[in-house]
Amino acid sequence: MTPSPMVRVVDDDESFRTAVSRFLRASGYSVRAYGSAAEFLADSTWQLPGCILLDLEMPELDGLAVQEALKTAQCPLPIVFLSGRGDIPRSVMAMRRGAEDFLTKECAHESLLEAIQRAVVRDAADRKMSARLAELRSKLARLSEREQEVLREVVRGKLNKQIAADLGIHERTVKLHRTNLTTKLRIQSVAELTRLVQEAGWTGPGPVAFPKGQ
Amino acid sequence: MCVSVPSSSSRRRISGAFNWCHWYVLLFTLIFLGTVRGEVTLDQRDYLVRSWQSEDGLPENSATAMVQTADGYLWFGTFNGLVRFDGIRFVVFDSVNTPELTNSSVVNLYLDRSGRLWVATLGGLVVRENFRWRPVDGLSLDSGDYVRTFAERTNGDLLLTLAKGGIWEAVEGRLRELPLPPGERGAGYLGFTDEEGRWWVAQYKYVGCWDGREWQAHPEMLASVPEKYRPLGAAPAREGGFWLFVGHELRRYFRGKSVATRHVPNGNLGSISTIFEDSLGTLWIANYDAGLTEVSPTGRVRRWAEEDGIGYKDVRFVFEDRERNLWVGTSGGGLQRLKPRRFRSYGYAHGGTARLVSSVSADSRGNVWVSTFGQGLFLWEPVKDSLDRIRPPVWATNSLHFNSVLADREGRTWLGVFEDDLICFGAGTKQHIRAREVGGQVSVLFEDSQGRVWCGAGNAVTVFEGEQTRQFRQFRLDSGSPGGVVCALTQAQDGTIWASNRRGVFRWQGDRFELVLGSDGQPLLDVVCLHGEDKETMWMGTSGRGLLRWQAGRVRTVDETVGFPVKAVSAILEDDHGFFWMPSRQGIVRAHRSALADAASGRAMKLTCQLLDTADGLPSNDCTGLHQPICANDPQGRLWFSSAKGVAVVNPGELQISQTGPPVQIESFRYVVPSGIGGRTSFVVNPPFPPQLELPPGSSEIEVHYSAPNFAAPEKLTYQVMMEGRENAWQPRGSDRLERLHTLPPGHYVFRVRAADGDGVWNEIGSRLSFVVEPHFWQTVWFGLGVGTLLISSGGLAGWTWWQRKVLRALERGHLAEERHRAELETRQLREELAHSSRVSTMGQLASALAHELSQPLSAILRNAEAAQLLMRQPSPDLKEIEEILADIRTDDQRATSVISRMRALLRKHPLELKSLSLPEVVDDVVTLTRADALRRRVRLEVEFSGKLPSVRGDRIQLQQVLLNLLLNGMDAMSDQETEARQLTVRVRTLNGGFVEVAVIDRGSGLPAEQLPRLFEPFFTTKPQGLGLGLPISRSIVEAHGGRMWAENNPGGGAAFFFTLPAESEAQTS
Repeated sequence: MTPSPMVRVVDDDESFRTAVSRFLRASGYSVRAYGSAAEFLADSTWQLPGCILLDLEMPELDGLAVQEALKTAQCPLPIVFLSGRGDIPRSVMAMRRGAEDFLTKECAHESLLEAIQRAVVRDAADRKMSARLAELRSKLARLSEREQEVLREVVRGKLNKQIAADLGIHERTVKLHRTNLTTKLRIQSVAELTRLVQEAGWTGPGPVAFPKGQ
Repeated sequence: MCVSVPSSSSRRRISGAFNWCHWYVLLFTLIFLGTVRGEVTLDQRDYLVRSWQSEDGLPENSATAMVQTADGYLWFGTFNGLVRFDGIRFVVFDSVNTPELTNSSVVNLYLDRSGRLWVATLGGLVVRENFRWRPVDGLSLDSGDYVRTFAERTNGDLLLTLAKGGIWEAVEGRLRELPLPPGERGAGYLGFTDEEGRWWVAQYKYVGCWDGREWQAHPEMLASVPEKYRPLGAAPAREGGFWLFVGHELRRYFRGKSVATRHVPNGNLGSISTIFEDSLGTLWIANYDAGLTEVSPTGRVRRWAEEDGIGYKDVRFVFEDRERNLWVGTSGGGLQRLKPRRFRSYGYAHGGTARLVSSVSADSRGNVWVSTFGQGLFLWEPVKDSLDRIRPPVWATNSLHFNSVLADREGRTWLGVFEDDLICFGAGTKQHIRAREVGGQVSVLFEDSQGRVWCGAGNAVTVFEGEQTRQFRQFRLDSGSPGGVVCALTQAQDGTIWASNRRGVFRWQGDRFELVLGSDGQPLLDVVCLHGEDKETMWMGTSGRGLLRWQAGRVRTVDETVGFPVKAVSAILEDDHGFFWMPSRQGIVRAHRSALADAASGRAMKLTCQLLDTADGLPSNDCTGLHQPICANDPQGRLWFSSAKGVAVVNPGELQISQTGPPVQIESFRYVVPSGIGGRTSFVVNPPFPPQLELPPGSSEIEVHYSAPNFAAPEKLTYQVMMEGRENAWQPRGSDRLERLHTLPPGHYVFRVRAADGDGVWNEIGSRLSFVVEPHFWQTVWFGLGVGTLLISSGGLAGWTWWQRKVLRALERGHLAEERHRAELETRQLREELAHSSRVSTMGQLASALAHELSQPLSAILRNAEAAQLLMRQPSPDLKEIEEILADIRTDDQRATSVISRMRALLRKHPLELKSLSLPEVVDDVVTLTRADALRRRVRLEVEFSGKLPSVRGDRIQLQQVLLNLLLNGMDAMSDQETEARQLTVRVRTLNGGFVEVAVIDRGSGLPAEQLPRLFEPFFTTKPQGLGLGLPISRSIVEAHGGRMWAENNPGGGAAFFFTLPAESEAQTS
């Protein structure tokens, strides 16, 4: 059974925090509540899917600052901002920085649930994607340095002959490396290989120095 | 269908078995018109009995004694409290809610001539006078003893006898114990008084009279009584003197002699609790263990047992209220009401299921003939006073289903048989007229003033003239449209015969029936009964449009718009007093002919009438019968009505209709006043009410509880209320006994309430309560004018303040002390006005932040409520969590309320109020108010209290205003600074010389040197939207408190504002 997405409620107002946590729990989410930004940043369970419901106005570290801090810490969780009053400049700023939504605290519960749901769906999608990438990256990491060089050249669309010439190895060896690549990456076609590598944002082991003497 | 149940002797005769058919015919002939008894019995109870038990609201299933106070309430004692009863509601007084009642076992009650209510409890005696309770001192009672009897002289002196033997008199308000007469020690005496006001006591073997010094025995009163009988009961006699129940006789003694005697067979009734004589002279003997015995003035004795509805055999009292209902209290069987029946009814004790009486007719000898649909024919004869089944002649019919019966003046009886023929028998007549000869089965029978009998059947009217029923004439009712069975026949004053069917009303013009038209020239539809008033006037009852009055072609209606209580009337019967009695499915409507005429003509807006029903003794509300005649006058003037469950008779001359309507009492007045911080206090005002109640400003949720004590038909009471001062018209309130007014604008009001009893008689006087809702200061005209003036000239006023101060100084210089004092007063008032308006404007600056303060708890409430809704929808809701949610909602609500009330406190205009104050509290209040604003502006607020601070004497609101003003100024001053630098400190410390100093220190850019001296001048401001009044007002407030205010620049940057206040000890000595 997959655990229900976890909503992290960060709000300094205890009664509101409790109330909104209850409401979300009754709506089927698992909820963890934090009384301050610091508390939330310290206890990070970011690996669990879900989203953050963040109060915009908090003493010390306010919502926008928390958003910054999370970005720095590469927290993948989408953020839904809540504010006691509709503060347009700050909401614009929050949205621009990638907040999922910006709501007032007394908004209709449909809007709140909708925003949370959207954030959770996005989070799930992000996570699926990053899991795939992580897998890909780990596979790529398993390639030998030479194989990686060959891969880079393959992705650049070079022929075996050119690769052999560029890398100063025999064309036959290139073929052998390519076979290893497809086996290790479990990929059949060059097209698929190219798409995958681009998706992973992989650039190979860096510009390869030509062998000395050439 | 066999109808005969032969008597046993008849049975022997037919057992002779020759041709049994012959015998059978002979038998029927022999018992022709004979009566059959046994199966049908008379329901002749004179009272309708209703019982109240614990489950109906009695505090305990007993009633020990009863009185009726002047305001109309009945009071009765139970072993668990004293009860006040208005016919609907029991209000219990016991030792919990009435501490003066030290014991809740109320064993006896007495209402004296001055209206005081004496309440005898086990071991105590309490008096209620003018709504106040007072224990009676000076009467020595041990815990098991109580006052057994009360007797009163015409001058108000009282005689009290105790259950354990003591005898006391209360003369001119002083209690005195009388010596004990001979008799059994430890057993109580009965106390009573005679027509001359002498005290009498009685005990088993002793009857004696107090001559002022000692007891004089009267053994002759017991002389003729066998030894085994002993005097057991006594009661005051209505005609003077007293009744003494001795042995098996009730004797009335008057002027020392026995003047009346009533014999009570099997006289030894065991222990008698009380004896009561009602307004008709009937004596009621209540027994502890043998029920109730009724002895009428004619000597008729009737025993009442549990099965008669009196609840239980342990009867404590009989009491008669002002409406002449009798009340029977029992120990263990609750309280019973015996309501005199207006109608006597004759039904069947063991009848079949089909009880419908189809028709009723009275003959000239006073016999009443009753036909039923399914139970045969019945006859009531005055001498027998019972309704007995009789057989129609054997040759005629063996049916038990009859449509209609008519007894004519010749002594003949006409009987319309269901789906069969018309029979006429009696007075030597034996006639069988075939249905087809009269046009169908009989639907109306009527005898006119000339003795002609008219029969309606189908759409034909047949008239039988003279003795020969074979000679008849027949007419058709033709309205132009087909159908319509004749349903009514009557004769107008001029002798004209009228008839009606559903299609129209017809008038007999010598040889035919002519259609009568209404005002619109159309036939009159749905007329089911007719009653002629005079030559030109005919009353018509309809089956859905009330009553019509036809007068020379003009038709007027009497229907619900004028208060006619029913839509359909089945008959109109006029009594000897001009009242119309109109049976319907809801009961019988009674109204006077002239009242109906007034209502019809529009002379009266409202018809005075009564709707009489089962509550008045009718066996059923459905009195529509089946076919005319369904009601009849007998030669004695009594009226007979058919109903679905038997026949009912009323003597219209004896009918009692109240003249004044029920008394109306306002029982309590409640209202809610806002109080303290967001609180509400409820107030209940009970009688006696002051001439005018004064309600504080803001009073709301006003509730007036009222009631009209009525006991004959409390469920039929209707009320109307009027709030003079708001609307001056009576508003109907149905049976509601509560008027709720959520809010009332300030003003003077008179609440009035009146009630009508079940007979529709209004108590026009009703009850009234005058009250005033005081205005809030802002609701007064003066305030309105003041605010206007203030807004227009606030600048001027401020200038004036400044000028005043200058003047003041000038005056000081001139040592004009008196002038100065007056000026000071004026200045202070002005300052208060100004301080208030300045506060209002300051709060405006805070509004946005306060909105946020409010939005937190409100949002929390919203989310909590939604969560609770979601939880409730789950199959097994977590009630514990829901409870927590509700608790949180409550807390948040209080939080929001406290924000509002803090704001309100500041916004309120109020006079200077000097109190001992703790400065840290004042500072905290203001810091709380501004915290949200500070958060928004990203200003850190710090508060420092150094050391032990003395209290100061001052006005909390004004000091808060000063602080608020300084804090807001400070925050404004830092708006250009970096966020980290924005810090505002409030520092409170004690100074030498008995002062406390408050400093508000900001980290702004400080004050330019040239501004420092002008800061506190009115209208000096550096802010674009500022008025320049905040600081001058603050300084004047501080100075009014005996302090000082100034500003400085901090050495480390920013500005600091200081003010000092004298510490309380200093303030007191100065």
